[in-house]
Amino acid sequence: MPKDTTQCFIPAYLHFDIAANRLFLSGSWTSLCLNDQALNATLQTIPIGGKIVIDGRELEALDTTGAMAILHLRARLEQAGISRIDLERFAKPYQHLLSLVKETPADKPLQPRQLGLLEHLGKISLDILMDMVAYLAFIGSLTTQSLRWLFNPRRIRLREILAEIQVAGVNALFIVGLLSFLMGVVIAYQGGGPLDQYGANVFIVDLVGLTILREIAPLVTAIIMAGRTGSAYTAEIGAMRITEEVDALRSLALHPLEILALPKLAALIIVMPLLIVFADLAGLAGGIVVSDLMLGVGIESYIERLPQTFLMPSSFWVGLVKAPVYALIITSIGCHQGFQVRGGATSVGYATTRSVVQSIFLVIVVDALFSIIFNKLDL
Amino acid sequence: MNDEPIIQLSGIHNCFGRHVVHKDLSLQVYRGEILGIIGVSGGGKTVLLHTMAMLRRPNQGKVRVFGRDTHSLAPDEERLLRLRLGFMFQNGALFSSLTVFENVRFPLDEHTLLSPELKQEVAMLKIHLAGLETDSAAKYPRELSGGMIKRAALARTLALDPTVLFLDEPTAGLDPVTAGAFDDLVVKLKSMLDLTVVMVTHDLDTLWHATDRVAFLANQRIVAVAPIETLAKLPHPAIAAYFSGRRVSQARERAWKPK
Repeated sequence: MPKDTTQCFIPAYLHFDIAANRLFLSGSWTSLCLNDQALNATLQTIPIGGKIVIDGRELEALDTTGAMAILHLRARLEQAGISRIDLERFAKPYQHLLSLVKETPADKPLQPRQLGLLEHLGKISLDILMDMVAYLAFIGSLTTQSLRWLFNPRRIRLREILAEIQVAGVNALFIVGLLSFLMGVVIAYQGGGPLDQYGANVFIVDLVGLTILREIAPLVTAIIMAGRTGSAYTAEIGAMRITEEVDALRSLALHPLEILALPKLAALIIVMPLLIVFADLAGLAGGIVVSDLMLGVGIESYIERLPQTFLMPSSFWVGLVKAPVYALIITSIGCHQGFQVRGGATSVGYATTRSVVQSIFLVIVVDALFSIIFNKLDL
Repeated sequence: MNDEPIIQLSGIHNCFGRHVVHKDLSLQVYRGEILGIIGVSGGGKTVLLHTMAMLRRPNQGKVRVFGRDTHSLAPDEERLLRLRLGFMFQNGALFSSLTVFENVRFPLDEHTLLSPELKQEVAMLKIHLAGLETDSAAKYPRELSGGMIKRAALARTLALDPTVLFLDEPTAGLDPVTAGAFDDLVVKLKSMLDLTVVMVTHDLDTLWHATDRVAFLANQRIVAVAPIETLAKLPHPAIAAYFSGRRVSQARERAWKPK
């Protein structure tokens, strides 16, 4: 029988003795030591016709893979026109192995059916459509669940909401502030040059104020939240689906949305405006630094001018109004994709990717809509 | 059974932080036997199995596999040694993005130089040996029942014809009929493929039917290794507590009924 680890250093080999008309198998015929394509070269040297004996006396080791290869060898020789092939001098355990392999059916696995181009296109379109329908249904049940909270405030899970605020809000302060500050620096730096040429240095306050408060702070915050928090929601709920924790909630007569999605939604609706205000301050601070150092507009004149600038203070409120909408988009897509997870670990990965891409996409689309609406409203 | 043990643990200490799981534990596994490992839940049976299968390095002590110290192995040696140890995880641990067939073919793809046709046939052979039908081969793990997952996991474990098979609770979560069929399968494969089997189990029917020797793990060490008939009668308090109770005597009755 197979010896211990040394056998792997003796590759499977075969040689043909023309005088005795015997094909000797030697070495280890095991999965690790076998290269059946290389062995086929030896077969070319065997004269066609008559009978042949496959001799197993020199075998060092044999496993099911080797036995399968011997049966292949035999079939190949038969195809080549050798009328009679005998297997001789195989040790008893090897004979058992050979007959075991022979008796077990070796059929082909069913291949998953490949889709045609048109079929594929149709499937993708249908998937997108179904995903949208499912998302609308999700928004619907999210709404009914939140109405239950509104009419029955004792059901509100304050502790979970606070925990979510800590994770999604407080822990994100640094990254939101830093990015917004940098955006303020960049805008002041880029815009300062042309303004300086016209001697309109003081308008840097208008430029930075308008862009940061209106667009950059809300957008940067939303994008960070989508990438940081929305993806975490998807992964968390997705993993809970795989481990059947979501079903466990259902079996305990609890609505998964109420436990998993609503606290997140509430937390983000509270946290988003606060983060945006923080991002506003950080962005303006970035602008002040550049104005002071490069354009000679000091802090005092900056702060003095800020309330009198173009479209103030409506810009501040315009930026803030977007917050709850972004919060809704990010939580609903994050949770929805999490609940869509089916099967295994890869599914969580796909869902998380989709969650981030879809929320950022939707945030920007909604931002564009907001711009048009506010423009029409002269805000 | 040869005299030289195939796996030899001596003076094993395992701990997680301050929690000591094994203390000066020794155990031998001999070629061609089915060794059961039993003990109370949380007693470190799975950790012991992981230690034997080179999946966990013990905090102290020696693990010798095929006579080699696993502490200081060249990477190539370690790879060859690992390939001769098959491990079937408690929940199957099938790759969820691959079908059953692809799961079984995966180790063949990674470690052998076989032609694609031979690989495919070997993979299907293993799937059939594990008692699965052809149509299960194209399914994904999530589409399988508990018993089928165990069989698919067994098929993947067998893919490279390991010498030693480690089974972590192979029949947990299966109904008695399926569990019994799985035990018979393990015994059958063990004799057909000349395997050595080490299994952790709580299934008393499995213990009585399938094992040659049983090791009892209690108080952080192996307190006894013996055939189950002998072990069950030992006067050690932990063993007596384990084998008292109605479920055990029923299993014993079932085992002793003439077939």
